[in-house]
Amino acid sequence: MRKTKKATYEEILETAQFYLLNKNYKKAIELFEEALKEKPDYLIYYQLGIAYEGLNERDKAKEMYRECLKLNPNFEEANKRLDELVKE
Amino acid sequence: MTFCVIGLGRFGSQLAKALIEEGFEVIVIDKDDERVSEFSDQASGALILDATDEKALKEAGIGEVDCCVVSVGQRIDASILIVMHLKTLGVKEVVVKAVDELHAEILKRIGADKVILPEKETAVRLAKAYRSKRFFEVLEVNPEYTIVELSAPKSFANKTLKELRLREEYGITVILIKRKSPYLNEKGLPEIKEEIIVSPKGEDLILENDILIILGKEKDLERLLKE
Repeated sequence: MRKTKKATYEEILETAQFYLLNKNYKKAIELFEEALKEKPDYLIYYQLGIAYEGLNERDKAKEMYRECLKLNPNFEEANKRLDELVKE
Repeated sequence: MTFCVIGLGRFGSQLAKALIEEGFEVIVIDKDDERVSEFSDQASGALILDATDEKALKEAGIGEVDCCVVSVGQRIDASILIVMHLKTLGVKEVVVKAVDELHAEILKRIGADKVILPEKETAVRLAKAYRSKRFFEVLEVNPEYTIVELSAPKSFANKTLKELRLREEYGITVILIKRKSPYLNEKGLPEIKEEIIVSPKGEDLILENDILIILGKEKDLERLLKE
């Protein structure tokens, strides 16, 4: 039972990432948020940040990178993105 | 859109004046009564108070403003405290002037939405950028012509410039298209980079979420925004 659930979670993430890379940001956000409900993870917050950047919603993107860094303060990619957004 | 400018040194007072000129409601705050009194006629509020005092800010209703600009000079400790108070009070956008890179880094960590390093931005340019919410950046070429940066209107998505007939219909020229492109980095993590198309041609397509940099007369640009 647990095994099936884990697969589903990863499947959601995989699909969300597919949407993200294909610039379907809204759909990606929907799925990442679904995955967050199940298990918060710094990588999900990070990818939500990327998706919001794609939509040019910089405030939301910053919020997501900050959430990501709360869970993993040394995560280089999120620090880099946040840096760029705040300086812009 | 309502603004609050905290700290009326050279940057703060220039910015407050420029924002008032642009027609915004502006509340100004400083500890020095002389600096504040300069604004008593033009600003919607001119308050003499210590902005490091959270209670005083709250009572003045500063939590209600849309954007608060903090420019308290070399007083790093004060600026940090003020930013924290403003965020607690729920100010939507907090912009702070930093003294140096380290100060900027700290301000960013505690939740400042925008950090300005003085050599990079002038007060007047910042005020103009706020003129219209949908214009991200405004650059005046001469009194008649302006260059603006804006999100492509929804009705433009998936159409070529030729189809949109912007020059014929609006008298405006798209000089640059900025587009965010996600990709996977060497670690297999998504990242995002910005592609730019300089002086796009008629057959170039505009996509949803593109940012356009457009040259035109102000009235034509305003008309375009109504799209």
